[in-house]
Amino acid sequence: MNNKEFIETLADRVGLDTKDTQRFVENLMDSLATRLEDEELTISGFGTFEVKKKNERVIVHPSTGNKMLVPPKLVLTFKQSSTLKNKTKKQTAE
Amino acid sequence: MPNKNSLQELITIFSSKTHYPKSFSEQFLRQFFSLIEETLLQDNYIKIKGLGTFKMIEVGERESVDINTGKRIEISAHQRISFSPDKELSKRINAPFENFSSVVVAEKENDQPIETKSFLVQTENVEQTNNVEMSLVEVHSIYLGDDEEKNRPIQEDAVIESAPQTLISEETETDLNDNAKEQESAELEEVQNEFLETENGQDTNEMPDYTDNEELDNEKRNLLPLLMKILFVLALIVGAYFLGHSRLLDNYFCKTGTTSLETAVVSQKKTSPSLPDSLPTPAQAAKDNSVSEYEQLQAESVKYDQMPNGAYWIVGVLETHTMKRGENLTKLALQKYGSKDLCRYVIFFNKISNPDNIPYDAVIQFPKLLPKDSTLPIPAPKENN
Repeated sequence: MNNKEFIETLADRVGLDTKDTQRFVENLMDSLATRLEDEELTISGFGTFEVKKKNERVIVHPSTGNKMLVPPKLVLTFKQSSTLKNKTKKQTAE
Repeated sequence: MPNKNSLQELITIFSSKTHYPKSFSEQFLRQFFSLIEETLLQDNYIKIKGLGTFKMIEVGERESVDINTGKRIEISAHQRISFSPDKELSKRINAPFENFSSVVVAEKENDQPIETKSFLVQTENVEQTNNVEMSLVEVHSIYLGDDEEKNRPIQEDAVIESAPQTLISEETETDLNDNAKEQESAELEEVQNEFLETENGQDTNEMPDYTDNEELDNEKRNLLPLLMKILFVLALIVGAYFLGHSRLLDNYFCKTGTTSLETAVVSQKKTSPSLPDSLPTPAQAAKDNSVSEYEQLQAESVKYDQMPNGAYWIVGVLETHTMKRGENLTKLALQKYGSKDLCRYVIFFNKISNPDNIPYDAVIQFPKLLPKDSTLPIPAPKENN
């Protein structure tokens, strides 16, 4: 399902038009990012968003053969909750 | 530990942004995440703009070992949720480290423990004998060894005085460079040896094989570009000296002339080697022409309009010329007077308003010129072409 379909379905469920829903989702992403800057975000029944720091490392460039120092970076990770995990398990079992 | 209040905090932030009541926000968020969940279970794929992509990935069954019992167990095939954040979101998350970028690591960075810097402090030239004296070469060495030793880098300063070197003339400049090169490489080797000796004295227990040929080679490789730089600076200084010297000579000649810019230009022409040798020098002119003749000619100048601030008197008509196609005044002036600069007198004498556009068959009179100053060359026709 792509973004458009998702917004349409969501608008249907909440009872708003798609334009407003799109705006709300954008706002939500903004607040999500704001929240994530401080600490991890757990949504019960769904999963946990967490910002993790990846350390700097030395790699060898595949084409040039140069040794490169890749700087440290912050990455957003997602871990599904156990309830969601069980649901997927059930689905595969069926 | 999962924070149970996470969703509530998110709702607070969200409602403050949208100015909608919290109850609505909560409903919206719950719908949002449950929809993601449902879609994911149904379609195995969902992409949300601004957040990222969720995907269900099938994981095949594999064998593993139970950590507690040590028995082999089989993990059955299941589905895993993968999440890759949207580009913009990940960029925003990474904002604190935004300024970092990948850097190429120089190879053997840790294998080169010695960093040597040399400064050519002073190079003096004595004017008369062209003595070039390299008075001070400071070699500043810093040793950075293994990690244990990085905390206490050993510094070493070596000051070497070199013997003054005599240069005879400008042509021997290259010789100087060669000599300096030899001299300096000798010096640097000395410094290396000295340095290595002290190193051995201090670190014999830790690094007994420090004076390996390999290490020496490394040092030499370090020093080579440095040596080149020093030589370049030396050459620059010597070059600048000679330039300055010739300018001084020019100034000397200028003093004897009039103060106008034009004389300066003409006198520079004189000293430059590009002027043909066939031009008679003022000294010769003085011998050939008697003083009375000069005065006679100068008296003639009253009859003609004179160039303001000119270095020459206009004392008569030398020649009359009809312009042909392809001719220009600069070339003609070079032909008649041996100097292109004197075409200004022709332009002035004939009152030509646009020297770049002279009609054919225009009759040009070439003025006879007499130098106001004895140091100036007497205009003479160029012999060949």
